Amino acid sequence: MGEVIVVTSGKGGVGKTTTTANLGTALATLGYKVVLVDTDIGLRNLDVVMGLENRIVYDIVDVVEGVCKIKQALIKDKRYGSLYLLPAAQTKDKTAINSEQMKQLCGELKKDFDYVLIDCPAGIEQGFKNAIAGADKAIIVATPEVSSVRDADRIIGLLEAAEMDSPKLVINRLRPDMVKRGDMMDIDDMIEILAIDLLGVVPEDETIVISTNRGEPAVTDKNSKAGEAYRNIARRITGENVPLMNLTIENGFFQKLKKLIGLRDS
Amino acid sequence: MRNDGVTIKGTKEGLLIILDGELDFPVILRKLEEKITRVENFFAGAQAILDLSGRLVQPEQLEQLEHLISSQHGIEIIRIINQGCLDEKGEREAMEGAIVEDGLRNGNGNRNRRVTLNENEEQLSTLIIKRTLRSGQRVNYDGNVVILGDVNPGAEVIASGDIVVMGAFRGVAHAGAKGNEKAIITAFSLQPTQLRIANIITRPPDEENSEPNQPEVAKIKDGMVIIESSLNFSN
Repeated sequence: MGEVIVVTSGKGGVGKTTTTANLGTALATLGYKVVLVDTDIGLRNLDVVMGLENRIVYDIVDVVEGVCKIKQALIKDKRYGSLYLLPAAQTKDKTAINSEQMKQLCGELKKDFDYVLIDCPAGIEQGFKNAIAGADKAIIVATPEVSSVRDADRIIGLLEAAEMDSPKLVINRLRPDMVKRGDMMDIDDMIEILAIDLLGVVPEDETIVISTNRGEPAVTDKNSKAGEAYRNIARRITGENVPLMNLTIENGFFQKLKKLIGLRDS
Repeated sequence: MRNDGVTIKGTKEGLLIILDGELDFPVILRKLEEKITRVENFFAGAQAILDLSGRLVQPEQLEQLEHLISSQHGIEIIRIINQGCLDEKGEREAMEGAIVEDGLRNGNGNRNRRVTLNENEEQLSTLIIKRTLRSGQRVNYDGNVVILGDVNPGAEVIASGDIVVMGAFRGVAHAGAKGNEKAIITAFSLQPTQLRIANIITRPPDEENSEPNQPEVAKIKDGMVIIESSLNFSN
């Protein structure tokens, strides 16, 4: 029996789809059987980011409406044999499926896959409710901006109300140089407000833009910093203990040093 | 062969009953009855294609024919064709229709026979869309679809007939959605996400593709969807 993990954020544009695509691909490279489910009906993107758009014949709405079997709608990734995508419908809207159908669907997928990653739409309406309905765990993606943190906090509250286990935080698009200058919220500030466990930090990285446009997740690029961060996060999901990446360690170390110096001074 | 108004032939599919298109209907009906009655029981249980040779029959006349052939003589009519027929309004030659074996096309006088009309199939009408279709927009039409604009990725066009795009086509197209393998998809710039004709689905190769710089046509040939320059297009 696999695990259903929803990737959500509340705010749009913080990297839910990118995170889902990269974590899914990374988990598949670790040898797990993974399915990515796009629940952003009407504004589907995951298929484009995965470079699988031209393979879509059936979608999630066809599955819940019984037009086709789940297996017919699953698209096998072109790079990894153990990775599949269940695409969203583009010509319908969020009300085309309900939470109960989603629960059933997740239950079915869980039987065949080690990890079911659900790409949640932005917002807190029907699409969000569908996305979390069948999930066992949640990953919250937030960028170091007050608006993103505010929305993430709202989402955590909603997940608590839905009695889901404590969600984990992925901080996305962090710029260490800006944090150092004090122009950006740092990791500690965010964790202090959100008070949830940190799963990983992904630095701002232009390779993400390149890989997204190409339809190849950044984790497949050995030179991508963000890709490395996502690979680490994937390993943490599987239960492995992986220290935070160099980039952030340096930063953390620097701050710790400052604090130490500060302590000495006082 | 002298034309006495009714010709009955054997084909791969069954009998082909050709009724002369010029004679008065009652005459034809009488001649048909004579001919079938003469060989009573010989045709019983057979399957037949009825060719009206361009005659515009009224529904009740068609019923009379069916009654005579099927009910009285036990011949099952599998298809009615009407070679060289004008459509209801007489505006144009019938475009879509049943396939008749080539040898039969010239089998009846000097009539200029065109593509045949299968009267069981309705004449396809054409929907004209004068705008660009954007992501998430979907057109589903029982007939041909002509788009005066582009079709962007994420948009879908589904037609039981042909799809013609006077612009760039970047979305998903399904022509001949009810199974017509002769349907085509054509665009000034054909860069589809996916093409489907009848029950065949294709997608462009994953390697980077250059934009076509001329109009192209997609159609089925030997069970595969092929794309060719519309300059060389022949149906």
